[in-house]
Amino acid sequence: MSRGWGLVLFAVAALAFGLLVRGPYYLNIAVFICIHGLVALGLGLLMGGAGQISLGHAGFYGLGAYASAILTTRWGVNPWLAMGLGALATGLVAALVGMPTLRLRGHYLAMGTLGLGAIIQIVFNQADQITEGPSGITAIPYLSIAGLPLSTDHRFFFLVWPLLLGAMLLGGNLLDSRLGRALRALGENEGAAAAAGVDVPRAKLAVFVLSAVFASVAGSLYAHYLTYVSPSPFGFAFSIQLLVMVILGGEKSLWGPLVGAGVLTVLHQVLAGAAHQFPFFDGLETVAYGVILVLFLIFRPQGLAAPLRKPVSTSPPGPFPGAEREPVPQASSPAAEIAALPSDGSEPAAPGVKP
Amino acid sequence: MISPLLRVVGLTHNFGGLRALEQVTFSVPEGAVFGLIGPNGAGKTTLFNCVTGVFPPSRGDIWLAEVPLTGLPPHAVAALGISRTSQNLRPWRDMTVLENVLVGCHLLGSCGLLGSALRLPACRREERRLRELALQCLERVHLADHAHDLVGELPLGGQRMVELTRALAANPRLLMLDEPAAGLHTRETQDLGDLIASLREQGLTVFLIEHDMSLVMSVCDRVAVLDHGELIAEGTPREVQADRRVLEAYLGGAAE
Repeated sequence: MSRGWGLVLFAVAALAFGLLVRGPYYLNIAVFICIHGLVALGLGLLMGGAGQISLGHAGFYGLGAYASAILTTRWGVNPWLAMGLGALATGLVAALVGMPTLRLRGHYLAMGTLGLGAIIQIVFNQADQITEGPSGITAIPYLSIAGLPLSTDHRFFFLVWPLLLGAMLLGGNLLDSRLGRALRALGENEGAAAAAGVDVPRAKLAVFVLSAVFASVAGSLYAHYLTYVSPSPFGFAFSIQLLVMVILGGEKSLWGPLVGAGVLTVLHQVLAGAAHQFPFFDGLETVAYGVILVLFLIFRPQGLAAPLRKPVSTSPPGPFPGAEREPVPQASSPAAEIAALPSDGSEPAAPGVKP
Repeated sequence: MISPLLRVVGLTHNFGGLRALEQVTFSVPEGAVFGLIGPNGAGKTTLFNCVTGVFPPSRGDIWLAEVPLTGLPPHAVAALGISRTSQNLRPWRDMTVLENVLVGCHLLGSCGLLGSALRLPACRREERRLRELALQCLERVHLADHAHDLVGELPLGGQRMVELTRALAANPRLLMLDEPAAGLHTRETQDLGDLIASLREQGLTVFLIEHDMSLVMSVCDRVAVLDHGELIAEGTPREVQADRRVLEAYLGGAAE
């Protein structure tokens, strides 16, 4: 399967990068591409799979980061356990917001998550007894594996890329499954999916919660990588960046969000560097995202990594039920009842009452 | 007397101030092909939507055999054994023929989020079973060669057939077809009629809305006629055809 080979290729490329590149600058960017890629992957499943938009994914990302930060620094919880607890809590929050909004058709989820994202950031800023307010939480412990703290960019990179690979595997499995088909079906036509027996609100809720959990895990990784969190990276601006990543890369493809995360993360570095040298570049980043978003929506709505066309059947272009124009041999078997044969130039139907 | 599979009693539906259905009562006998006809805007599709739970009726009751359907959401109605096609509920054009039919098999499986994402053995088995079933359905309608084509690339007749196959894949007790012959050629329409007749022979109950009178007259056991939301006639095709009120409804009261 092509998806399987894609993942193998990704693994080989990441491994080679990790083994060959030593400079912390590039490794740092690569780690962030993976972390952002994880959030974007979840958002992509929601957008491409269920046709729903979340404008508050930065909030879920932040919940994961703060859960890890608070649990490990205040209560000395093991970082891995903190990551799990954070994911659980974030999933619950997502379910609470999703349950009422996903029952409705249309983009109520977008509004609900927009509000939620804003509330979450306000809490990070204001609840300073737990979150330390705008100054943030410092001295978050590193994750460690078998006693080895993942304290260098290099080590951390070897944690995040396999995690991202695993998440992509899960996402790919999901899209090819019964639930994934139901999601794609409802993304295209909710009424038809419901008529086929798909419990539409429940299916949407499932993928929304999953996508929030992905964001939360990515947030925890962020916290343990930088060992410092503050409210500013988890605001509306980052939610929009995530949206741009997904649209730029292509929401219908499993790879799209990762490609988008790669492009935007690198672009962010470039623009930040430019702004450092030329002060008038400051603030240009937001403009750049807006321009990218508009250009892509107009000229390439399917994104950079548009889904590869499924192989068209290798069968000869044979008789086709209802093929128009093409003359096709008449079916003579009684079974031809269904394999209806196309127009053969017969006379129009006997005139019936055509209201 | 054959027991009714679908019973509709006093069904009334308003859209705001507009009365789309008014005290409609009829029943579809088990094993029959039951046609619903009427001029445009008579309320036929509204009736289908009420039965399948797209919107709850303003008043009235609907039963499938002994099970009340009134107020159930669409997926629950589908789970009780009603499949439908519609002019507007098109097949999923961005999915392959096989995937479309697999969505039709949705109710025959049970794997959820975790099982699917982790590809647990039970879910892999279920997926294989569903795939086999879907392919069998496609073979039966001679579409197996096109299983991996995108539905959007098929001509209209093919898309219609995919939709029908999708609806049949769930093994419904009642198949509801909303204008299945719309846009088909004469020949395709005849084949559709043969298909409906063969489904009836297999014991399936079919309830269809159709404008093509020759199809209705040839396949239906019973026909009901709606006009302005009211049931104005019900009977065998021959009886209905001769009914004065039906002629008036269609010909605008000038029937002689």
